Amino acid sequence: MDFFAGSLISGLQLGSIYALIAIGYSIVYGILRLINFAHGDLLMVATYGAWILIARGLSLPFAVIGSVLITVAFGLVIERAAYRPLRDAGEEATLITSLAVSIFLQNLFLMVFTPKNRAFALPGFFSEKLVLGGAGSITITNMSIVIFVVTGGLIAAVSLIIKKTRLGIAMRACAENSTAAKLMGVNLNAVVVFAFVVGSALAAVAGVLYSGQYVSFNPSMGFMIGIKAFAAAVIGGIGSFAGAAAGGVLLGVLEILFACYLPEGAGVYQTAFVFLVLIVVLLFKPNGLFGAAEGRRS
Amino acid sequence: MAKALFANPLFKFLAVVAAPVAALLYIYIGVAEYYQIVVVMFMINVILTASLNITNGFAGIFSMGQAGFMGIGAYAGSLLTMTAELKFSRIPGIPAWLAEAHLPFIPALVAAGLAGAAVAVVFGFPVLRAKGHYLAVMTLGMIIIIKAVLDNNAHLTNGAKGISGMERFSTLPMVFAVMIVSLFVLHRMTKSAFGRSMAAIRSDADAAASLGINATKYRMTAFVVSAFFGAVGGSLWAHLQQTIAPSLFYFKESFSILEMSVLGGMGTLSGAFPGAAIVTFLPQFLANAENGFRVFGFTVPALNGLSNIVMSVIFILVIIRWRGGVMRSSEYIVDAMFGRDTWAGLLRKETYVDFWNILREGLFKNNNPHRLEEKSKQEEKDHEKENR
Amino acid sequence: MKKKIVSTIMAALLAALALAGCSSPSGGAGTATGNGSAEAPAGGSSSEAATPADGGTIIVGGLWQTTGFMADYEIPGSEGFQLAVDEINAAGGIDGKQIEYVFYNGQSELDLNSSLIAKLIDVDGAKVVAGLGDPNSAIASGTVAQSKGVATLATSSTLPYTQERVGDTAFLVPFGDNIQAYAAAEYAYKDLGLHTAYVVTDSTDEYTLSLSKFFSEHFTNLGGEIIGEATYDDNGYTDFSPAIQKVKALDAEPDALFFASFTEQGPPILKQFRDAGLGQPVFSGDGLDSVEIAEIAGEAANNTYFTTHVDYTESNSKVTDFLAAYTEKYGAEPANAFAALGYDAAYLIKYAIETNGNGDTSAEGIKNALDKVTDFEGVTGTISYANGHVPNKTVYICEFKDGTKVNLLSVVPEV
Repeated sequence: MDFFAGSLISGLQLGSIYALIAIGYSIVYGILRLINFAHGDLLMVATYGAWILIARGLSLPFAVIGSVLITVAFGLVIERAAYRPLRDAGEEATLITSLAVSIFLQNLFLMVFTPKNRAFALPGFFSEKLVLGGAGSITITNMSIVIFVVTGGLIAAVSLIIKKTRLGIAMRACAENSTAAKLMGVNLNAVVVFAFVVGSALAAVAGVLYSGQYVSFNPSMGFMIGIKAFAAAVIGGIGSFAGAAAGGVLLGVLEILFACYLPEGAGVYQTAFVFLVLIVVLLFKPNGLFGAAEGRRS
Repeated sequence: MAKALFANPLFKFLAVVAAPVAALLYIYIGVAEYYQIVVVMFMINVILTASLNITNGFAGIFSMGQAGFMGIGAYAGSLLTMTAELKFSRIPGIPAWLAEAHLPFIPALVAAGLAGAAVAVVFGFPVLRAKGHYLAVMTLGMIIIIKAVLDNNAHLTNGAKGISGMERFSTLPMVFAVMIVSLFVLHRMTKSAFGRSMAAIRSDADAAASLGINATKYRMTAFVVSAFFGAVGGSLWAHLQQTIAPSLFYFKESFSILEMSVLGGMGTLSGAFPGAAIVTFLPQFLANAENGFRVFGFTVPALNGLSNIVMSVIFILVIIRWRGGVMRSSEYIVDAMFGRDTWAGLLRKETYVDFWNILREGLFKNNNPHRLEEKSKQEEKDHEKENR
Repeated sequence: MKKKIVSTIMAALLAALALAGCSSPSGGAGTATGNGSAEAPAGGSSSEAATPADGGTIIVGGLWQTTGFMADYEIPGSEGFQLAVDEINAAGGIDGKQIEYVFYNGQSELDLNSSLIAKLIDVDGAKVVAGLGDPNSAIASGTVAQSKGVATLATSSTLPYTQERVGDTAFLVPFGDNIQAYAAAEYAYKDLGLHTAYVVTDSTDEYTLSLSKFFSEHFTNLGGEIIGEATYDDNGYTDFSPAIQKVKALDAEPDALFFASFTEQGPPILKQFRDAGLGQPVFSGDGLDSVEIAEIAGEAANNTYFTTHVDYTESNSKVTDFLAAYTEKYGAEPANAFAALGYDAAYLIKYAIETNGNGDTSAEGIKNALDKVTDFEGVTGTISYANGHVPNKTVYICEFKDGTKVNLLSVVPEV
C-alpha cells in the first residue's frame, strides 16, 4: 500500500506538470488548429531564464516572475514571426514551421549554453519532507506540495478566465467557429495573442516547477516533455480545457505507475508506454476521452 | 533560351545522366576513399528522402517516423548478412534460428525492406486513422516504440549496445544501382494510376471518395511503400557505417530526413537530390568552419554547434521564402533520368541540331547585330515548328 | 520586400560558408577552446594523398566530439591534447619532427565520425588519430581506421573489448569498465564492509550497461549480494521515482546503491534518492566524475563514491605540472579527468615513437611502436599495452563531500 501511495504521489507530480503544458497546447490548438511543437521548448526557455536571473542575484519569486515574462516574450515573438504569416497556409506549412521553430530554439540555446546539464539549487525549504504516515515510509517533499498547490491554483484561475472574462469567451468563440466569431466583432489576432500569453505563462511555470523538482535541465529537455504533454492533451481531448488538464494528470499517473509496477527490464518501455496509450485511446475515442465529436467546448 | 535548353533531351541526358555518372566514376576510381564515403551517404540519403516524399508530399501523410523504418531495415538487413559465427559472438543469447538465418546482400536488402513494410502495416492501422498534426505526433510515437523494442530485446538485437561488424557491402556501384532502381520504381508508381489517385485524394479527399477511390487503401499503400524504401536505406546505411545502435534511429535522424525532404521539395521525387545534397555535404564543409576561420580579415572564433544553427536557420528561411523547396513541384531531375522524352529524344536527329543551335545562340548572344538578325529569323522558324 | 531580405540573408550565409569551407582545406590546425578565444588557423601544409610525411613533420589527427552529448568529456580531452601538442612542438617535437595537428568535431554523430576519420587519414594524411568519443563512435571510426592500418587512441571510451571488436590498431588510453567496476566493488565490499547492493542502470548505453554488469559480477564474487536492479531509459530522463519506490518496497534496505549513469543524471538521481530518505553510500564510475555534481546537489551528494582516471590533488609532479600548464593556457582548471587523458594521449604517441619507433613514422610504424609500449608514465598513471590494448591502470576512488570532490585512494586492481 505504501508502495502504491508513494508511486501515486510521484505520478500526480509529473501529471501536474504535464497538465500545465497540455492546457497551453489545447488552448492554441482550439483556436488555430495548430500544434505548436515549440511549446515544450518554452518550458526550457523559462528554466534557463530563471536560472540566469537567480544567478544574477534575484530572489526566487522575482526570478520566477522574470522568467515567465521572458517566456511569454518568446512565445509572442514566435507567434508573430512564424505563425501569423502562415495563418491561412494550410496544415503542412504550419506543422513544418512549428517543428522548425522548435529545432531552432533548441539549437540556439545549445549554442549559447552548450549541451551541458545545469541545475539551479533551490533553497533547502523545498527539500524538507513531510511524513504522511505508512510507518514513516511515505514522505512528500515541500516541493511536491508546491507543485500540487500551484498547479491546482493555476488551473482554477485559467478556468475562471476562460469562462468569465470577455477575452476568455472570445477565445471559446474562436475555437468553435472563427469566422462567425470574427463576424461578431471578435478581434482574432488579439485572441490569439492572449492564448499564447496564457499558454506561454503556464509553460513557464511548469518549467520552473519541473526543474525545481527534477533538478537537471539542458536545451533538449523541452521537446520530449512537450511531446508527452501533447499526447496527454490529445488523450484528454484536445481543444477541451478540462480534457487537457485531466489528460495530463492521468498520463503522469499512468506513466509512473507503469514504471513502478513492471519488472526491471521494462524500464525502457516507459516513454514508449505513453504513446501506446495514445494510440490505444485514439483507436477507440478519436477525439480523446473528453473531447466532443464536432463543436468544441472549452 | 534557358527554357529551350532545359527542355532539350540531349541536355537532359548530359546534365542528369552523363555528367553525374562520369563524376561518380571519377570518384570511384581516382579519389581518396573519404570522398566516396560522403557520396555514398548522399545516395543513401536520396533514397531515404525520396521514400519520405511519397508519404509527406504525394500522399499528404505527414510522417516524422522515417528513422524508425530505417532502424528496422538496418537491423533486419544486418542480422541477415552477418554470419552465424559473428552473431553468436556479438549477440549473446541469440536464438539459433536467428543466428542461422543468412542471405546474400541483395536478397537481404529486399528482406529488410519487407520487414520495414511489415512494421508499417502494423502501425499503419492505428496511425493512418488520424490526420494532419495528430498523425505527425503518432509517427513520433512510432519511433519511440520501435526504439524501445530494439533497446529491450537484447537477445535479438544486443539491446542499446548495438551491433557492429557487418561487412561494408554498401560500395559506390552497389548503392548507385540500388538508388537508380528505387527511384525508377517510385517514379513509375507516381506516374501510374496509383499516383494519380493519390494526387486526387490529396487535393480533395471527399471528391475523391465520391469517385470511388478508397482513401484508406491508398494511404496505407503509400505508407507501406515508403517504409519499404526507408528500410532499404537503413540497411544500406548499416552496411556503410558497419555499426548500428537503436539510438542512431531516433528523432535526430528523422528530422534530418525531414529537413532534406522540405529543403529539396516535399512534393516531388526530384527534390530528394538537392535536399540530400545540402544536408549531406554542408556539415562536411562546415566541419572546417567550426574550428574558426578568417573572413575578410575578421577572425571568427571557433563556434561549436555552428553547423546546427546554420542548418536550422536555413531550414526556417526556406519554409518562409521557398515553401516548395528547391524543386517546388518540378520533377525535372527524375523525369529527365527516366523519361521517354530523354531517351527517345537521343535517337532523333533534331535533338542534336536544336542543341547545337541553342548553344550557338547562347554563345554569340548580344555580340553581333548581324547575328541578332539571324537569331530572330531563326526564332521565327522555331516558333513555326513548335506551333505545327 | 520581406522575401528579398530573406533571400539576401540566405545568399550571404551561403557565401560566407563557402568562403569558410574553401579557406582551410586541410581543416586548419586551430585551437579547440573552452573559453572562446581562438588563434587563427595555422593553415598547415595540406596533403592530398596518404604518402608518408617527410620533411620533418608527423601528421597527427584528432576526432573530438566538441558538441553533442559527449562534449562534456571531449572538450576537456581535446584541450588537453592540444596543450600537449603545443608543449611537444615547443620542446622540439618527436624525434626532432614537429607535430602537424589536424582535427575535426564529430558532433557526437556516428556517421559524421566515420566519414571524418576517413578524411583525416586519406585527405589530411594523419598517421594516428586520437579522441573518438563514446564507444559506438569509437568502434565505427576505429573500424574505418583499422581498414587503413592507422592506429587510433580512444580517450573517452572505456570499452574493455575494443580490441576484439575493432582490431589491433585500436588502443585505449583510459582503463576499461571492468577494471573500474571491480575497483568500486572491492572498495564497497572490503573497505566499507557493505554486503548488499541495489543497482540502477541507464539501459540505453554500452558504457553504463557494462559498468553495472562488471560491478554486479565482482561484487557477487567477493561474497556480496545484489538484492535488486532497476533500469531507466535515458531520454532526458529525470524522474527516478520508480527506482526509488522499488528500493523502498524491499524488505530490507540495501547497504549500498550503485548508479551506472552519466554526469547529467548525477544531481537529479542523488537529490531524489536522498529526498526519499535513502541515505546509503552511493557508488558509480567515471561517468559521475564532475565536481559540479557536488556543487549542484549539495548535501545530497555526500556519501557518494566514484572511480576515475586521475587525482588532481596528488603531489606527483606530472600532475601538478599538467595542472599548472592547463590553467595557464585555458584560464581554469580542467573540468574532469578527461583533460588529462587527452594530454596523455599526445605524450603517449611521442613516447611510443621515440622509444620503440626506430625512426619509422609511417602509420604502420606508429602502430607497431604503440604496441610495444610498456612503461609510459602519464598524468593518469602507468600505461602498458603489453597485455592488450586496454591498459590495466591505476583507478582513483573519489568521494563527494561538502560540495567538493575528495580523492580517497588509488588501486591497481587485479583482474
